[in-house]
Amino acid sequence: MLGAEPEIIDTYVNSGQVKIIFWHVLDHATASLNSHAAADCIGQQDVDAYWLIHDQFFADQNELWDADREYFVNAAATVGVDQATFEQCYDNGVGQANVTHLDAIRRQQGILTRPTFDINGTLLFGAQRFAVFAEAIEAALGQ
Amino acid sequence: MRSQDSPERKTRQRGEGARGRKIAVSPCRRVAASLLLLLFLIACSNNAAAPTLVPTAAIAPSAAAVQPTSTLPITNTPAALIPTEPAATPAANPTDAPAEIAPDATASLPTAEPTVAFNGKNEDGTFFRGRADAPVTLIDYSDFL
Repeated sequence: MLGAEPEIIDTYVNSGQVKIIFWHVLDHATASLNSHAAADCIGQQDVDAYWLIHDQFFADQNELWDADREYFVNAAATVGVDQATFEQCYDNGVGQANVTHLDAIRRQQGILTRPTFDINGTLLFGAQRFAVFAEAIEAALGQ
Repeated sequence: MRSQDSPERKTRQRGEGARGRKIAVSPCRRVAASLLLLLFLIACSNNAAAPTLVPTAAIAPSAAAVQPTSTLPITNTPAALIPTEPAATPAANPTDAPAEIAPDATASLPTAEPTVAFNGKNEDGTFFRGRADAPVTLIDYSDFL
């Protein structure tokens, strides 16, 4: 997400009011599949490292188009997970299978716009300013 | 005939002491009088230690009396505020040694609250960022690209 995400984290996540779930959407073939699989394999070892690589991939998204296996192995090393374990997960397709399954679920649910945000059942389509998120979050908190 | 100046006459005549004549007092009566005087002096010395109250000038009520600031009516407060039973403290037995309280490092510490997961993995395979029990869930359906 990035964009408004840092402010959402500072305002609502750190205070315990909101938790963010990242749902893998694979709209760009192999490039999407490999990057999301790498993130999933990292998360299998360390959930905190998952969110580090999540933020890093969004910040360096232009590099993901041409990223190869070595790129993702090095990326896993930068966030501190075990390299051998990551390689086994990535090479065996475990990560790919997981993110493909999640992508299929969101398609079945009719989530076709990217990004789509679900805030306690309230859907927001497309990138939004922080104020829009805040309004939806506050409404959800008030319920 | 016996004369008034006879040495046998040793009885005291009334009123004669006022005319300058000697009054003959028996030794027994003299001792008794001394004892009475002594007792009187002792009694007076015991009362000398008591503080004497010096009457002070009566304080007349000031015309500019402090008016009560509260407008609440004054009601008779019950006397039940004074506890009727003494504090339930154990009677000290002088033969018992003072109880030693074993130092307990955790006695004064507050009970630790159960740790809530912050960042984790859901059963459906997705990962969450924040408190697991956060009241609001924001699902971000996104691609890195």
